[in-house]
Amino acid sequence: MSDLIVALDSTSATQLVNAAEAALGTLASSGSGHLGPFGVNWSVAANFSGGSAGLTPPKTISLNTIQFNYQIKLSFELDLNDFLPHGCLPQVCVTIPFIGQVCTPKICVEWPTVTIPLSYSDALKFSADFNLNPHLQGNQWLVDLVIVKVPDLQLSLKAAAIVTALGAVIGAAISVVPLIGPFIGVVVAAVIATIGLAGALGLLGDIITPFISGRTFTLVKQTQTLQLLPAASALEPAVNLTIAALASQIAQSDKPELVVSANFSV
Amino acid sequence: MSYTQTDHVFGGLGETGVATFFKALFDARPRYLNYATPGLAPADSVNVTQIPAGPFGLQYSIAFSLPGIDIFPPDTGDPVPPATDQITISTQAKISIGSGSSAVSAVLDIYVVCSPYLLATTSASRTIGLRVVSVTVLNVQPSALAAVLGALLQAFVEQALANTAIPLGALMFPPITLVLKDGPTAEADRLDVRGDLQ
Repeated sequence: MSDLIVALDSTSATQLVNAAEAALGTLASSGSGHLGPFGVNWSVAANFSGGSAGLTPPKTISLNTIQFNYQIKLSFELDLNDFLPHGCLPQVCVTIPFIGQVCTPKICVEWPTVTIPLSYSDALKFSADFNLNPHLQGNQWLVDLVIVKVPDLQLSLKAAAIVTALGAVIGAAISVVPLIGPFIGVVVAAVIATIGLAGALGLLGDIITPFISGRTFTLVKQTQTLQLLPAASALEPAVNLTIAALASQIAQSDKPELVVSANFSV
Repeated sequence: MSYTQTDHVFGGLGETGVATFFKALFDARPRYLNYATPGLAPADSVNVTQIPAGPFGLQYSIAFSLPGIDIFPPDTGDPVPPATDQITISTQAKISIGSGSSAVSAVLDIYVVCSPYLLATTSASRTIGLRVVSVTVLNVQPSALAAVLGALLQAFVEQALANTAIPLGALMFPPITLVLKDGPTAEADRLDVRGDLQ
């Protein structure tokens, strides 16, 4: 028999997982990638919340409808010349009797390059299996949940929402360009068509998947030395135990339970 | 039957866990096991708790050995088996009277039956205490003398146990914090507590 056994049913295991999500806090990342043909710089802040824990022997906790909340900021350069007619009308000269040669001015139309910024927040719900991983790290015993495999994140709807948001910000960003008024709709439609759902889906997958892949939640964090009593006086020093071994499993009886057990040494 | 039963969180300290807790406690604070009058121990001893001298300046000491633990249901061969929701603590008490070459001493096998109870009620400092139900001295005749010695030793045992409260928090792993609803109970060779996650 173990020296100490702590058990939680699925109700309290859910609470523990939710606390582990909160303890993980806000995660951040940044990088560069491609949004269709455009090179983009992006940054993202994200966190996990919610979900319920299903317990399956011998070591699996299924987290159902866990929520991944994210805010993506990205920007890319849009050269309007790629989407609008540009260039110069050649100078035309005619010779008019009694006046001489008259030439039209050379007229050139060059469109600027515009920076398109996008800040987009959304939440993604998914379910996945996690395995228990008790281990000693430094002087701390940890019971981690480690994702077994990345589930189908079903990003298509989220990518479509980003494409829609992009349409709005592109329109706003280029509206300040002189003379572009009649062409805004054309440019937006052309850029969105160029990026396409596939472009947004690819970038979104590149940004989000690393947060899910290999995801670990720490359920238990216990120092190897367990202080039972603090020092009370010079005659009464602190009383400590050492946790020599720690294990975790899912046990099934009349209901499934997460069981963490430990053996002590002095 | 599940550990949590109708509750959601369970903590159980097994017999070996309680024994190791006692070893850690008494290794660090041996004065909880050893008592002696001023003629035999200074007041500031780390190893011995000084107690008042007996009548007429009688100098004596009582030293308990590291206890053994048997939580219900009883282990095979336990001479004083614990009943439901009880713990039997076995130890040896060495009683010495006098000092130096004139000192006399005897070692007694004693069995203390206890029941667990919630010692402190504030949630931050909840501890499990052990309330003495009986003290039995074995291998002493006549039985009336054994009873007298048992009564004498009970006062010292209760003093020792007053210092051996088990912190409830030690039965959990952070960040798991128990809101106690049931227990402590002595069952299945463990001290068990149950409740909800805070």
